[in-house]
Amino acid sequence: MTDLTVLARAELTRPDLPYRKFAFWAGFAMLSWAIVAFLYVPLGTVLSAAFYREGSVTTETIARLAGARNVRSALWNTFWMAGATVITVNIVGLFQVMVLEFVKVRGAGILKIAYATPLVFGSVTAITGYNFVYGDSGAVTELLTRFFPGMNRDWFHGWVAVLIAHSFLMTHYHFLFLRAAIRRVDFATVEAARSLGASPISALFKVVLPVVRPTIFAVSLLVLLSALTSLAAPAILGGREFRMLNQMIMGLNSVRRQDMAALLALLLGLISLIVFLGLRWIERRQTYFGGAKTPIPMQKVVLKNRLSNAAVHIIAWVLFVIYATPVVFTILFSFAPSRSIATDVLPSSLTLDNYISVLTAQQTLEPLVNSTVMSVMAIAVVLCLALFAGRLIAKSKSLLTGVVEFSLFIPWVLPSSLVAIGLILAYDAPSPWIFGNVLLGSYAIMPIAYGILIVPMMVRLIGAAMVGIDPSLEDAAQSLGAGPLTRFLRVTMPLLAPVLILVSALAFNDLVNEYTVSAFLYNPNNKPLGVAIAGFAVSNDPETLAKGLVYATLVMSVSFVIIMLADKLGLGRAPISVV
Amino acid sequence: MIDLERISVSYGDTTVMHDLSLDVRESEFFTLLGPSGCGKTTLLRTISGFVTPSSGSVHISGRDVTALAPEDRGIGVVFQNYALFPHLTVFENVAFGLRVARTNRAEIASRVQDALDRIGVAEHAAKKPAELSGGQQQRVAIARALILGARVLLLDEPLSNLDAKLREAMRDEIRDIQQRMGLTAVYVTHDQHEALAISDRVAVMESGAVRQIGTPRELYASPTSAFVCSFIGDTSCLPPHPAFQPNGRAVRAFVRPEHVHLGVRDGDGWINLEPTLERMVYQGARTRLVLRAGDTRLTAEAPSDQPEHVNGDTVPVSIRLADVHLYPEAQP
Repeated sequence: MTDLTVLARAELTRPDLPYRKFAFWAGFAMLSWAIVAFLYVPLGTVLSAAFYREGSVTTETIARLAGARNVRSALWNTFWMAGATVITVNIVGLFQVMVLEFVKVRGAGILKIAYATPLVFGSVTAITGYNFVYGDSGAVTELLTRFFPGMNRDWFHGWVAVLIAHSFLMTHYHFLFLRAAIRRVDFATVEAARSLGASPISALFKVVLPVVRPTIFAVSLLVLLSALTSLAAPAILGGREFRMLNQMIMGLNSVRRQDMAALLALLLGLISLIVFLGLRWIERRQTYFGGAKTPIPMQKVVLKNRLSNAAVHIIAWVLFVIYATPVVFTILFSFAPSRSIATDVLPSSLTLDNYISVLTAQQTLEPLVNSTVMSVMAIAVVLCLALFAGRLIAKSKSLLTGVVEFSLFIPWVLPSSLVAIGLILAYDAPSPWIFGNVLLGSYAIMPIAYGILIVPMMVRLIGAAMVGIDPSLEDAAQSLGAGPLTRFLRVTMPLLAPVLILVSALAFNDLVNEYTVSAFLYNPNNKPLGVAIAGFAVSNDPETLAKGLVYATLVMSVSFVIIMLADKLGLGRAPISVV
Repeated sequence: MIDLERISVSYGDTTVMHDLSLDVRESEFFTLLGPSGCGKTTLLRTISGFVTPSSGSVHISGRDVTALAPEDRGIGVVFQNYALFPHLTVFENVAFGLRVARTNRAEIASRVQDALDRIGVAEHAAKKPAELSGGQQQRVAIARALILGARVLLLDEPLSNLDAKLREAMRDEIRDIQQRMGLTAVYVTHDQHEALAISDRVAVMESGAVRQIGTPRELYASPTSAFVCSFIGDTSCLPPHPAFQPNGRAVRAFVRPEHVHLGVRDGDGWINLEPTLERMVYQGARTRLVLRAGDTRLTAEAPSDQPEHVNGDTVPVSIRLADVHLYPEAQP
């Protein structure tokens, strides 16, 4: 190329410089506005609602709350249920991990599928399924009464039901993170223990589990967080006598006692923050790995002791039944004629009628459409924000970008109910922050809340992917004449594409399964799937119940496809950090 | 061809390069050599435009490019890890610059094909970079860097992730391409053997400054500083000796192993030492003798057919005074 063409190209690229600057500042302004309007203003409003009345600080709300007997009991229920859940989930989860990664058990492949179901069968969908299968007219209850005619049909109820549901549905953190951690343990340490006389099981308890103790703590804290903020389980299964904190917040909000709702939401937020800080602390201390130069990959050991071998097999397969039953029955009965639902143990015949009636009636189709449209809206906007913020964070380290980064991670710590209460309190009247509009009761409030929920996850994963791209690739493109936009579109974007697809899919999965924020914020115009499923779940009418099963099956299928996609794209193999 | 004038580079408050001037001639293979952290890569990136100097100017072919963005400088760059775009095929990697320049389809096809043919990777055109060997990747990186017709090629330690055997072959190949196409090449390395083997001229750098510029022969035969003397080739430090300390001033004296001769030689211009043998290192045709004279260790090189010595023996050696490199004590 002659010097003249170099010169010409240089001249041609000059005029768009001011345009680039403008685009950058416009993007930055949008981002800042979104952070202030949808994060700090709602948070500030919650704080002032909880502690200010008529211009002065008040502790009156605290006193009122402390005096309310139902609040005290909900607090107590929440705390002991969260504690009990951590214990039971650890028992179930550790056993699963042992069966899948440490001990040779027949049919481990099939067991793994069953143990993985909480990944696709979670939140309100799973609670609905449990209620359907174990509830007073459920298939399992039906079956049990044939053996024990005198039993109480309504056994799956109250705290027992909530604890059972928690114990088996919150093991997915163990399944994801603890398995990954155990796979990184050097098998030579197990062999060393055995050469010193330890049985395989005692090697597991004395060597392997202590090595992964930080991960066990971390997943326990994640379980604690989920249990503390549980809403669908107590709402659907808890009944009148067992209520938890999130229900209380929702109840207070609906009776317009928003100062008290705000205070309880803040309390939940404070607890979450403490748990989160604990997680960070554990993550920083997690230094057990990397001791050996040539670690031997984890291998499964055969239990030579017949008794313990038999025990492990029996428990493993009992767990299989527990995990598979609700999923199988939910899917099976979604194809059953409605007269068969709630009366038969197995469907009398299979039909597509339920699906046809759900997908053809405007009223039942709407929640599906609403959830999809609102999730896609939230994801599209957050994707743009995350790309912009990710680039900002990756390219420059200044106080300003530090503030942006920190702000975008705040929702990670916030309980969903606090996000919801914040939006309600801040925007229940025309506000200058959103140009004189009202959000409460509007369609937009749901996609906005959804966006807040997925921001931390998307920014974090996309930001990490951006940092992971070799900067010399962009340098290479630049040395070949590519300007910033060309570099972004031709080099960065194609390299990011798999991550963007994956992250969007995961966010979509989260949002179609979302229940808490939806339950607080929905209105007749934008009733989402989670709320619709929960509404159908408690119905006694087989026709309505059938629709709930169809929804649950559809959501499960979507989740399944997304999780498989994530696994294909390598998320399952990459070392996953807990926080 | 490439004129660097009084270049200073600072990051924040730290100045990593101060007032550096350098001149690379047309069609020259010019190497920046130095230990890691000496600023050689910073200097290369200043030429390519990825680093903006805080003061000073860069001229290429007489044109001031100091204020130009890298994409506007018309320079070919081969990166340390090649930086091949992993999502594009070999063909598309090489075609990238042409596509950005909106060259028409037919011309892209013929120019890329031509480049791939010339560099011997035509049969891999449809492969992704990950499917290529290290040597093939390097060829693609060079082809990509030169597709826009750049007359200047910058290479940042391109051989560092190849294994030892391939290194030498690829080194010769780079030299060959540069000569054949008459390119001006600026090459960064920390490997002195590589620098001596490939370069027309070498700039030895240390702490952000150029210590000496010269042909490989000049640098080896007459290093102007103790740093260059010990960085290039093997050297031994000599114990103090009245012959090279005429007025008693402290100096540092260095000598190359091949200039330490076995046996005593009398006469003007020679000094004799009587060190003891620490160990012998057999290297095939030649044998190295590691000797100890007082506090200093001295390496001599001799043909392997010399009589065997036993460790601990006194081995008299002689050194021609003209072969001793002397530097004042204070000089770095």
